[in-house]
Amino acid sequence: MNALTPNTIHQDADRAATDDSPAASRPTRPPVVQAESVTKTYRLGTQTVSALQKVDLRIDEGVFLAIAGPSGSGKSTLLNMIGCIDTPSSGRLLIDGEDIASRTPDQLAGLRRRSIGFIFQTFNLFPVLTAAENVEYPLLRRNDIMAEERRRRVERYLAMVGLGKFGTHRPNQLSGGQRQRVAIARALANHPRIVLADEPTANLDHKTGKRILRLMRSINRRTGTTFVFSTHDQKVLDMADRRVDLEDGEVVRLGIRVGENWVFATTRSREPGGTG
Amino acid sequence: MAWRNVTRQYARTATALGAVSLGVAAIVIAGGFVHDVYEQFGEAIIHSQYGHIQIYRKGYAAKGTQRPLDYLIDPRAPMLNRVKQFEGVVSVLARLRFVGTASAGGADLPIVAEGVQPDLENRLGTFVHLLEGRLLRAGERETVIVGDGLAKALRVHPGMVLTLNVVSREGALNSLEFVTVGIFRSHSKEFDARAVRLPIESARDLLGSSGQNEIVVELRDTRATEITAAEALAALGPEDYEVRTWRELADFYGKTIQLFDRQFGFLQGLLLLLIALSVSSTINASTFERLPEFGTMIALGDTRRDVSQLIVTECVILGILGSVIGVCAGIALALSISAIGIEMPPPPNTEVGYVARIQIVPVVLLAGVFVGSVAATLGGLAPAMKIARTSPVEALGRAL
Repeated sequence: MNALTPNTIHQDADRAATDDSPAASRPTRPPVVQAESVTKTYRLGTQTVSALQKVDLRIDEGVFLAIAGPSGSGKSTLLNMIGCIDTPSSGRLLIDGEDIASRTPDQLAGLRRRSIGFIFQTFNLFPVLTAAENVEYPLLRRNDIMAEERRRRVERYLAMVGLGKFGTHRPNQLSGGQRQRVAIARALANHPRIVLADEPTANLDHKTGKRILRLMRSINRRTGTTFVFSTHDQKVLDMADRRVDLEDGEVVRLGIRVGENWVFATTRSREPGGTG
Repeated sequence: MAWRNVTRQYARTATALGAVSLGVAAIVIAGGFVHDVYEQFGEAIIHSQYGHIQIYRKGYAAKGTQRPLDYLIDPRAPMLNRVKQFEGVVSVLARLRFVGTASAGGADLPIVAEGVQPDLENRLGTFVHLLEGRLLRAGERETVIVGDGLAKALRVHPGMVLTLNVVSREGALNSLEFVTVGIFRSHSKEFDARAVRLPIESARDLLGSSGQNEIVVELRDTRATEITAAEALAALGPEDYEVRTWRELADFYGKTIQLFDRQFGFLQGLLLLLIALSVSSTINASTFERLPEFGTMIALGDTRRDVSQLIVTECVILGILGSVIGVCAGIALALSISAIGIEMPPPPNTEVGYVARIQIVPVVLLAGVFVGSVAATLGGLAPAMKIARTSPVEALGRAL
């Protein structure tokens, strides 16, 4: 295994990658996510719980990244940080070039609106809205997108996920797989820089889950949209071209897919599965 | 989004609408009932004793009770024709009111007697209830009808002789015998305990004078009382005449209304509180259920303020819709109940019960819409504030 560091791993990936991810062929751009020594602690009664500890991470544009780790490792917390739903207790976190630590809640809402798409484990579609209305929802707050453009995007992304004829269906009239497709279309409608997916296949059967993942991978390759997954699903790990392994709130290993294999870099503080 | 949430989430909307519309319907019914009570009570006073307006010679109101014959109005006075021509006047009645005593079977009791024009008086007196015998008739003399309380005290029945004793204008004691033809009951127990009515010509004979000291005016519309009274006073001249409305003459009416107003106002305040609590409870429960939905909205770029506003907007819509439904339901119920009628006991200080109906009063309908809308909006404030304080992580966390 190469002695790679979190930063050099990305440079080597650009030189050595034989996969056809858009990241390999695109000119270097600023990373979508840059985390520097990010820490998150919570107070639970009299106890202080450390959910993330000095996480350093860089996510480039166009990657298909899996954040893996056992339950309680901090995956969801890290995803919440990247999604600007939560802010770090210390450290620096830049999303699309903006340091979120000093942003107000309204500014973070604006950042989410412009740059981030979400796909949830439980789909989280609005039950009173049709599929088309669900996809349109994130566009409604955008003053720069007019009605005709909204309509065009809704049609385009519903077609992209194979649900062009299901626009008038409500979520309770769709299968689990179809609902997740609508959620994917909704996540993409705003042309986000990054799509965050928290266990997106957890509530789907194996076959449907694979199809959903293949769809997202295909979108990632065609459009160059960055996908970040929080998962412990092997199917997701099999499709990812980057991975970050967390344990007890620390990054213990970074991985990059080279062909069929993974190239890992262990962080300086601990070996994966070890105690440091 | 608020409109879609309200119109597409049937169960949740139905519960909230039910709470609002029931409360508003209750306000419409209660308010309509109260207005009917007030109106019927007023009409009973008007049509058993006072008429809408009374006109006297100046000074009568203060001193007429002691010296009623000092304030007589000539039956041929031009002012009587002028009064008849005021807008909305149905009839103008002459009364000659005096005090004296009545004797029967060895008993003597003080009375307040009214010489009246029988035909006009019978037409006005729709709330005078005849208990025995008959009412006075035009053209007859030396007949009387007696108030219920007085008749009982003197043990008088139709056909019996009643002697009326008065002091004339010259100071002489006059007595005349009259045949009791009827026993009546008005709205006022107090009035019935001392009242005697006789034809005005007989009263003039008894008193040895002509004229009348009270001009009673009946109007087509009770609501025109105050304005007609003001017009009458202006036309007749306040230096010569006094004008009193039935409200001024029956001050207990005002006191009774005040009492009822306070009670019903309290009831309506309770209803407002009940609607607000009921809506708040419904919205609170649904807010808790919808927390993941709100968390998703925030994740997609809404602020917590946007979500709070959504909740309040939904409550405003529910309030307005529920109020309109409540008003319609209230009107339908009011019409149904009114078709049947509600038997009511006599109000305070009165003798006669009545059949209540539920009036449809525009101001009450507006009050119902206002209360329903405001209460529903208030009901949404607490859940909205709760959402504003909930972190997106917590809201989304409930979806996992």
